[in-house]
Amino acid sequence: MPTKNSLAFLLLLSFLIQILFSIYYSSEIINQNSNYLILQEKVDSLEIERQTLQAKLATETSLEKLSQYLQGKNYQPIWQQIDLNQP
Amino acid sequence: MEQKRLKTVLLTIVLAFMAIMLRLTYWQIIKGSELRKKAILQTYKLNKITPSRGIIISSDNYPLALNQNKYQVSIYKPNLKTDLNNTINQINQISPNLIDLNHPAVKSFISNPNIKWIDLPNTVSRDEMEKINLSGVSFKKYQSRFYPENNLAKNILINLDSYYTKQLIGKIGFSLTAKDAIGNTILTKKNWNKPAINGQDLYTYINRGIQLQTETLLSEGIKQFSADSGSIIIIDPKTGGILAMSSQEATDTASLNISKNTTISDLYEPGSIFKPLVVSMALDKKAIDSDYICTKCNQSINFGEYTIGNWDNQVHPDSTLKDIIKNSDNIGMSHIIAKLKLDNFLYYYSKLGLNQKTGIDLPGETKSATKNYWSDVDLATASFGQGIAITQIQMLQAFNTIANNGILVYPKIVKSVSENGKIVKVNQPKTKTVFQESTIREIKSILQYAVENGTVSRLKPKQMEVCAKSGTAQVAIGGEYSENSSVASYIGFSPCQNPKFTMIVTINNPKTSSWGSSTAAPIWFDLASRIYNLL
Repeated sequence: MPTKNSLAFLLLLSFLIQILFSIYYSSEIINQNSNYLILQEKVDSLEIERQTLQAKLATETSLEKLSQYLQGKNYQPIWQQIDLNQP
Repeated sequence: MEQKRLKTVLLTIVLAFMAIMLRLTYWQIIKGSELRKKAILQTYKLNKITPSRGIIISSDNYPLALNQNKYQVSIYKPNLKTDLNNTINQINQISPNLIDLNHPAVKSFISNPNIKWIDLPNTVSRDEMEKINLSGVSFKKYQSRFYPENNLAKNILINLDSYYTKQLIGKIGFSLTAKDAIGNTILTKKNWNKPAINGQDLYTYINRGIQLQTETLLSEGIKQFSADSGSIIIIDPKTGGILAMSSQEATDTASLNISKNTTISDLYEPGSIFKPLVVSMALDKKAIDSDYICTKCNQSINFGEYTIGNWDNQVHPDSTLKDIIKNSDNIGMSHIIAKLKLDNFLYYYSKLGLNQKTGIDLPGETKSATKNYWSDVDLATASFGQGIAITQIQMLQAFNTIANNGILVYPKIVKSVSENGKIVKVNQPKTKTVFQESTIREIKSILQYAVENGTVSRLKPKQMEVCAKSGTAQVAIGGEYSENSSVASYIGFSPCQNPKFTMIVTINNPKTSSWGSSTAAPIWFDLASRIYNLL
């Protein structure tokens, strides 16, 4: 009789372990998947951002932009601001 | 009786079992592969991974052509939460130029209730896309070219994009991933991924500063001389690398003709800028020596009904080689080419690559058909660049042989190709020796003398050493030379020893003066003095 009970207990225990393991493992899969999706979106977004920043940098350092800045600044040659007669 | 009933039950069970077996065989074996495919399609997702197109970079390491993500906007009426006009107003507040209410497709989408869907013709940026967060409005990402310098070198860039499309385009990648019920990716061992290979980047010889100066001065020159069009090419004499290249037409805005690059696609008669090449041929072949004196230059030459005279109707008796080039003497040149002879002329003509394409890395290059018959007058007129048809890039390639000490170098725009920052291909300059060093020494001294003592000497900055030649060519229209059309050119390099650049300026049909020395030469010297210190 005690052997029968032990066997039933073991069966029940292993069944329970299996259920717990499945719950843990499936939640782990879901977590990993959602992490993967988030990271994948981040990678895509960073790549787009990289391209956008590269384009912005190129525009800001373009000759057209530089000439606009220069026109706006009204640079004067330095010799016009220095009195060369002063010691 | 009971036995019989038992048998019937057993038979029924066996038959039912057999029916199940047959059905399973049908599903698993006969329909098996088809169903497996369907199952894979339901549980797996095949994604196309688009590679980034390679970028184009200037010689000073600034990007000339980049990629940018654009978003095409679509509206689906049934999914709109507010009425269509309200949605359009909301979109217009964020992106005022997106919905063109006068566009026929947009008009009919608004007015016709049966049209449920529209892909708007204009696109939005990523920032705008994020702001337009409306139900019923969807976006589709695609890549387009972005030129940070706007129209600078745009003609070259568009053509390079087409010529190097194999290298620039990259390779599409694929991924096969398991998906859940709502289409999200599931990590499994069966997932398969072949990453996209991004396009290779092109490093060009084009210098932004020089290209900008070139385009600006050419545009101003076309306006100033009331010309129909014009072009300029500047190359590095040693490598043949194109530092700047522009061809423009006189339009209201003097804007670039984006589609056509006349420097490689249009044939023309080069005129007097061809003379130094003929003198070099004659010196190299020893048909004449450096102290040649034209004893027959005291009169024009007659070939039957044709008479060859000089542009100013003057004659220059006993001219030296320096005088012949300085005075741009057609009579002297005709005597020199007669001494050179047709066979030798054609030998050097071919050696200078004037009967074949230069092989420049741009689409649309042309060359003239081979001339089979040469009369004496044909040979005489060829000595001053008439009756032969070449492209400007061919002319520059040939003239640059003098700058590069007798070694012909083929012109190229792309210096190297790189993949993920690593150089994978270098366009090594292809070269060929054409003239001996003694010939080059002599022709350089003749050209320098012509610049310093000719009509253009007033244009030359004092500190600058220039070897160059002007030319004014007549234009053949309908088999006859037109009185009203001309091509004014100036070609040369600076300094004469170890030159930094070789440049050709061509102005088509200038109205203020037809002479190359009065139109193309001022542009040449202005540009040369500006770019001299950039090299």
